[in-house]
Amino acid sequence: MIDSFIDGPLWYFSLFIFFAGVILRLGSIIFSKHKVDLSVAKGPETPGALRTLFSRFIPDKGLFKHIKFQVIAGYVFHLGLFAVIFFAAPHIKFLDKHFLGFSWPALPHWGFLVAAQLAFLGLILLWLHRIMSPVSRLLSTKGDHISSILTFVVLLTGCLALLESFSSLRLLHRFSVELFLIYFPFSSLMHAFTFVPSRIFTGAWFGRRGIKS
Amino acid sequence: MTKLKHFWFLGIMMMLFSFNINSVSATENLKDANSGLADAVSLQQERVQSPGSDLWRNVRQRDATISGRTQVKGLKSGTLIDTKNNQWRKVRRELLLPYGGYFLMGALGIIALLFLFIKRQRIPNGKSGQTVTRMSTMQMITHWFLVVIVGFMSITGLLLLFGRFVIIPLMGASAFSPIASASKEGHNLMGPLLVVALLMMLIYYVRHNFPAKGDLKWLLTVGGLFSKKHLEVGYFNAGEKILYWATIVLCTVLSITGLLLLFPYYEPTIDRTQLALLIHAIAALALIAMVFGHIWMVYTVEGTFDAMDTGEVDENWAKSHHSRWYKEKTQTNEDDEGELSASSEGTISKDPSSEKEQGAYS
Repeated sequence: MIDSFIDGPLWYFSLFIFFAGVILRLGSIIFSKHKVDLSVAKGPETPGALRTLFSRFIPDKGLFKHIKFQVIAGYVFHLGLFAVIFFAAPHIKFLDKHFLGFSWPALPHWGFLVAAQLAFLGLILLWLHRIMSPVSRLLSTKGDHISSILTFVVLLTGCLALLESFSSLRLLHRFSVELFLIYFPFSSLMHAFTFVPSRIFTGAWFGRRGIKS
Repeated sequence: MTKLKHFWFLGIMMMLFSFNINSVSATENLKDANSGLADAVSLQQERVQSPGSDLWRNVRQRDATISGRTQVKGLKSGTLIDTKNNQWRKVRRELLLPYGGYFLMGALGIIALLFLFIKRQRIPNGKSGQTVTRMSTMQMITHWFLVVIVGFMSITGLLLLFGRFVIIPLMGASAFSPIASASKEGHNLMGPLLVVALLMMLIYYVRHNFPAKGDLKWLLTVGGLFSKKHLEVGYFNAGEKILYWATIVLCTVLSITGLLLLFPYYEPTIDRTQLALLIHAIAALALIAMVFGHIWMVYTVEGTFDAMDTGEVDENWAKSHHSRWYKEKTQTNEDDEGELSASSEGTISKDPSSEKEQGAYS
């Protein structure tokens, strides 16, 4: 009963909420009205936008000294998570069968384990930093903690079901993914998409004003 | 009509005959069964052995492992039966599990008694409201990272060690199977992170944990437990240093033996793998028992937890439990403030929170 609910209606509901929510939020950002800049442009907008989109992957030297821990742990976590989501063999098989109709080479088992370990390492350290650093503790909201916990639970349930032998473990992982998808558009997890328009907007504005960033 | 009577008679006779046959065959079956059982019993009594058992007994050679020759290349290809696995099973079931269980239950029992009968030690003169920075952000992160990893490894490890005997009677075998599988996958996956936690523990804590003046006195008087005399203690007392080094040693043992178990092909002899597993389990049980004690110590001394919660401790707590460190700390702060005000002519004010943040990443 519960398994057919998780594999059926709840799965489609969570997918609907995820896609509709992401489209609505991105649409509201992209099509939001803002003041027209009447100043004379000192430079082109597009190169500035593109430059900022990629240059922001490298932290500013002066700033890096003070945020080494967050930057390194952040990269460790995000790269690990990216590899786990898009290069784990069961995920590729799932995406191929249910969504895309094509596949790509998966990580070997040991590669998946290393990626998952890196993701766990980064996530736990970053979350602990959020709680322990007096500044981050003040800045963090309940939503940030829920996002971290949900991501941890999704990762954990997925890794616990690695053997792919027990339906109950697979269902647990799928259920946690569904909760994650439903929560995603309403939380700071949206940064997975919003970082692009945010950087483009800032970069374009800098480009127009002749600022190299 | 007479003919019919004959048929009737014939019918009855046939039924009786067939019944007789059935009953005979049933009796014979019963007899066979009984004789089979008797045979089996007599076989057991006479120890009549089948040629097959002779063969396998010869292969096994009772308690010794013998190796033959084969063209199959592999470390254990020549050994058909390795008796050491059965010996290990016995050690695990008859020694490790019961005594390990008693040890953990005993440790929990002692902690429960301490909770019941030892009064919580209040901060002398109560909380002052003034705090001193005791832990940097990185020290707190390191501590809690170790807590998360050790906690997860302990739960999954205990499930793997005792789960069969605890979970199956409670929830049944069908519930235990996925729990055991999940525990095994989780334990293997998170295990290497213990090495990272261990390295962080060394980087961020080792400098405070070398033997120092007053440690021997602290040990001889058990931290002044039986005397009311005040002891001058630095950043950590001798008890905390012992706990730290015991944690380092046990986590190192757990990491090395754990990695040997994770990569058995690099440690191919079964004896060493079994030894690694035994040491791994004993070290883990010792660490868990120690953690119970650590939790009790933190609870029983009021104000101690604050050091790992906010990184700040009450001044009265610091004066009472780590007076030498408090003096050094306040002395250094005064000197720093003097230097800063002299060099900046009073324009630079030092923010303790920014000092903490800077210190954390330097």
